[in-house]
Amino acid sequence: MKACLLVLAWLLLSSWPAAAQSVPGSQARLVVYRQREFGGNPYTLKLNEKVWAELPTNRYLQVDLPPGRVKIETATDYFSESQTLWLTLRAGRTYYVKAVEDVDFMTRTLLLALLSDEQGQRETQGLKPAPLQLPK
Amino acid sequence: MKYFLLLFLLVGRMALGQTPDSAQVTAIPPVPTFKYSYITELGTMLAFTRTPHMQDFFRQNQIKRAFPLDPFVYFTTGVRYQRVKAILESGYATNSWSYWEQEENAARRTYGAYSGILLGYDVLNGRNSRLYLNVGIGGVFYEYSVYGRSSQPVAFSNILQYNQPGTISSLKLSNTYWDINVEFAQREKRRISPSFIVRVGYRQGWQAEAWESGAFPLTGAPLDRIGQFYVTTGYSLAKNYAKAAKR
Repeated sequence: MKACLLVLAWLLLSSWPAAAQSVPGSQARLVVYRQREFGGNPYTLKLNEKVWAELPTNRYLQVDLPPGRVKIETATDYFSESQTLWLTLRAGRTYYVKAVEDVDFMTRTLLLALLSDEQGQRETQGLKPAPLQLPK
Repeated sequence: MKYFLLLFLLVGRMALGQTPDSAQVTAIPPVPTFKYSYITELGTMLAFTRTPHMQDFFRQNQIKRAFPLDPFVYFTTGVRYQRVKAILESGYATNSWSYWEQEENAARRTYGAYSGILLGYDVLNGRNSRLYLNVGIGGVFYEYSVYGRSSQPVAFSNILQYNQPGTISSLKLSNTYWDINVEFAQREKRRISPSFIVRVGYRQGWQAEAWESGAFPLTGAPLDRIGQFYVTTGYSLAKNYAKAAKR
């Protein structure tokens, strides 16, 4: 019985969408996610000019921020181009940003797009949180 | 005042109509879906070649066999229609490394080439890349020479009469083969699109064929069925079309 309950709890929690928990009243929640991609590279994201975390495929990053303007940017290397997304966050809201790698000959970039709450919630189901520690 | 009003009317709509998220992108750009492409490709191949019976002959007679890793340059041309690709390929073996062997008898590859046709289907079709499973048929040709070394001086005027023991001027093998490979290719993104292509595959002769010589009719020669494990890397240029061409 206990095992069944544990399995049920694990199944429920593992498919729980990112940011399903309530947002603290004075804060806004930002969720940046990537779905499964064929051969996708991980990208380092910057938040307001500071390195935030590395986002691989099939993972999401989540952070609660004070309302206001926020700049999300992808860090670049020799082969990758930077993408920037500006958002104006409002308290109590959750913002879902989808990231998709786009590769062209000799260059690659991580496209960023703000999506609707519905689509964001649907697409983050089953995704795992990205580790917040950057690999050394 | 009138000019100010006019200026306000001209720019006001843009300025006031801007959303708070002015840099907001509401959707990821769709994946380019060009219906068909003409593709040309140039690259290099490294092939590990097996001709077991001739290798046995070399080993039994203390002939240092040629290095089994053969470098090739190749060229392909073909078409892709949606997820299916057909290409004609041709490759020529190069001697990229110097011969430093000091053995009394040594076999050297003097010629190597192949040509064939491949038909593929992209079993994985992503935003940025395609993974094709290709199958094909073709022909592969090899020629070796066996050098017998001697320290005896030979006058150039007598060179045509001189016959060095242990020397075989020509040993040739041709096989028709079947081929299977997995191909990773970058997806085409623009009307004219360069991309990087890697293949890993194996080809093998349909049946064992007898070795021949280009110098004389050879009888009783061993039969070999070439087996070749290979890796290719190349660059392709594709001209892509969204619709069927108009006549």
